Amino acid sequence: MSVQVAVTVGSIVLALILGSVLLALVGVNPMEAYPSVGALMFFDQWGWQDLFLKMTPLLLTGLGVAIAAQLNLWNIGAEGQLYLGAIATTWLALEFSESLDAHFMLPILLIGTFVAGGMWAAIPAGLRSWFGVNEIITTLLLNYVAISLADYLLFGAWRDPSTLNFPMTRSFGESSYLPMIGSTTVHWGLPLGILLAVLTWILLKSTTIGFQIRVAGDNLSAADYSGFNTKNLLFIVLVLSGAVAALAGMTEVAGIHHRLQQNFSINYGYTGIIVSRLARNHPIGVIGTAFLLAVIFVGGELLQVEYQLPIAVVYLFEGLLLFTVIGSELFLSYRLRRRVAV
Amino acid sequence: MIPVLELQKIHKEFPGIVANDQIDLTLNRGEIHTILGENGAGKSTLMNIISGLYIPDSGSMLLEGKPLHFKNPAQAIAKGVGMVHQHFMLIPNHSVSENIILGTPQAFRLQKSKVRQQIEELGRRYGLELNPDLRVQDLSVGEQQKVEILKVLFRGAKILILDEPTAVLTPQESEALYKILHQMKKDGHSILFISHKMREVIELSDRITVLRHGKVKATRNRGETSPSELARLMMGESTIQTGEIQIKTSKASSDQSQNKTIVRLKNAGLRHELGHCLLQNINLEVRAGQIVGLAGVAGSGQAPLAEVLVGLRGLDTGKYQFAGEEQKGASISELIHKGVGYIPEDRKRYGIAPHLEVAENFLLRNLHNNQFQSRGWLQRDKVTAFGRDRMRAFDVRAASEKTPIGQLSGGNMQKVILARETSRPLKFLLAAQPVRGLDIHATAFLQNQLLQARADGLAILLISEDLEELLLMSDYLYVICQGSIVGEMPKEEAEIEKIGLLMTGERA
Repeated sequence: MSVQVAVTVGSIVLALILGSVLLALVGVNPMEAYPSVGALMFFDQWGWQDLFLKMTPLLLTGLGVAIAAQLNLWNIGAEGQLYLGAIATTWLALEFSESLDAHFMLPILLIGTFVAGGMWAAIPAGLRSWFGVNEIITTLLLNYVAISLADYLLFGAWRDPSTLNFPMTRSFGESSYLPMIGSTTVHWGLPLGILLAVLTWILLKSTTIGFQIRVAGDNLSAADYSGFNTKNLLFIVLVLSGAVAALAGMTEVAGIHHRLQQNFSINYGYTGIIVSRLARNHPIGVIGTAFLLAVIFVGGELLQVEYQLPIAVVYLFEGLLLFTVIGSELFLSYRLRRRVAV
Repeated sequence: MIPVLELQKIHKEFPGIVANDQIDLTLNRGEIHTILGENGAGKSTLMNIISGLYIPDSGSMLLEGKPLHFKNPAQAIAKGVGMVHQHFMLIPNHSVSENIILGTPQAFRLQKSKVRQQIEELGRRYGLELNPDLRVQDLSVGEQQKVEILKVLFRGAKILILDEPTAVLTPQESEALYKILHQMKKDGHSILFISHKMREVIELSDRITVLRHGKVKATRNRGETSPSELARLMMGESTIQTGEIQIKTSKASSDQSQNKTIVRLKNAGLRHELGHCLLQNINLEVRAGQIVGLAGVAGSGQAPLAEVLVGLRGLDTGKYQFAGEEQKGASISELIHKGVGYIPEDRKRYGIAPHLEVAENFLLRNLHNNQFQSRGWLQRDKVTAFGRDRMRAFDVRAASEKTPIGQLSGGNMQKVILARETSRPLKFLLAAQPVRGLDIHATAFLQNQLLQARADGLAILLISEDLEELLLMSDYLYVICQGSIVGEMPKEEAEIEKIGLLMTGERA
């Protein structure tokens, strides 16, 4: 465990060093840029609030992906699940927020989105469990369906006529706004994500179903021979994975935009795969890696604004980090040993 | 006449085991020479040395009188030594001809018509006719084997090694193969043939060499031996040497025929998805307080039988009665509840979750036990305490009960599995190869535990390929061959020779 953390931190440092070379190549002094971007990010009011706002959807999609990964399933569909969650939230908010107050509205949004995301993920889950259809392909393809569904609604039934034909819905009633924490602009989606991560961990470690999931994830044949219903387990885990990822859609539209609009996700769902992978699919670990990816997102924004760097530099940073972290797994699997003289 | 191949004092060791011990062997032109031996006798190692896959530690190899050493299979093929593996090395979605030319030197532009002509010519000469354009995935097992043989012939092999070629074939396909082998022999090819099956060995071979524990026990010419002599050479004399280890072979206390029947199979049959028979007309009984042994060569149907008994598969025909109730369909969890314990043959694949703690692995077939859970919550401290207690009782050596079980040695892993399976109320224990790969102490410990469990009234089915183990442990014996029970006898009437013959498909 401690070795894992040390190797991960070491690889992040290595990515920063490689990144400084990159910055130097595009004419920015890294010794100047790192401290100034760091200061803006962590000590400026706007900076750290943005950090936590970006972290929230990354945490929820990352956790969703990590849940599926417990059974060695790849949920590539977090982006679509996020869109579907946003659609469900929007429908509920547009339908009911005028007539219900926040005490009713917020639980309705939470549960409604969770259920909708779960039902959406039940499609690939059922196909996988009972027909053996590869979940990587189905979840990936359903992304396009969900995004197109959102577009269909935004350009059609849900378009707000008062926005001069921009593809967005009208604003939600205030009872559907996720409340902010204290006087910040950070909404309660972040604590929700952390709570879910902890609950997932408890589920895996302390319940019988979690135990069955861990056995099946470690050795599916042994789970079969233990009399566990592994088909049901696959189904439940993939549904749960989609339901959690869908909540990212809710926190985005109900916490930030207060309406559904086109392209509201900057690939949070796909980045969730990276978040989970970097944390080696550990549900508590994704809290840390979601924060890390948020740092890259916000740091990239600041580099763009402060140093007029192109967005491609941000992607390069992300790539470098992935490269070093995944490359570092070599050091977890193999150790250098001094050859013992015979 | 100079033999085409001569081995002199071939020696090969692997960590902890001498696989080939000073082996001498000759192969003449136009000869079928069979290598006979139990699993682990060193046959495969020897064949892998001849085909260039392994390099021997010492000893020499003469090809037509000239010494040489193969450093890899390509060199062996270049010198005309080709191996037909037991597990086919074919690419399913490529055509027959593509598979055959794979890895052979070809012009940059494939000359398909020329290749096809060559393949058809070879096919005609040896009775290996196949449409070269068919994809391998559409072929039957027998046809796939023809492709493997064609592959070797196409490369110009003069010496062919066939590793248990008939193990996967139907009797008809086997007959066809014998004809092919005879034709090749007539053409001056030399064949090294590996088999367990007594009848085909006797009928087919010009000479037979028996290996046991890595050594050549004897070489016999055609017509100068008998199945019973070969069986004795292969299995060893029927002396059971317990050595330094004391096994409490206490006589079963009372007359077991009065005991309650726990497991009963009646005319049980099972088919493979592709249609061929896995189990045929099996009648078998295991009584409480009895160890029933199931003898058989590997792959004779033990695995599907075990799958039926533990509830992974349902029977296609016949009946499975457990403790008097008929068992319909397949349900592992139901049979666990009714009291079935299982020590799987492949313990790493089916018996454990390697990255979970030792203590957690005690829950694997035990999760329904209310001792460890309450309303869906794991009682972690009880799990840990139970694990620690069982580890002490079964002398499991591990750093702690929280060590991942995958880090344990095979023997300790097996003790955990046995401890787990016997730690809940059981009626029946299916133990498949429970002591395979274990050292002498772990073996004795496990066997004593099984005998103790029998004394406590457990019904035990012991599946093993080791006849000495079976004779030592069992009260009653069944012999399985090609998915059928071919013999049964009480321990008193069991003789190694007789069982060995039955195992290899020879009626005694």
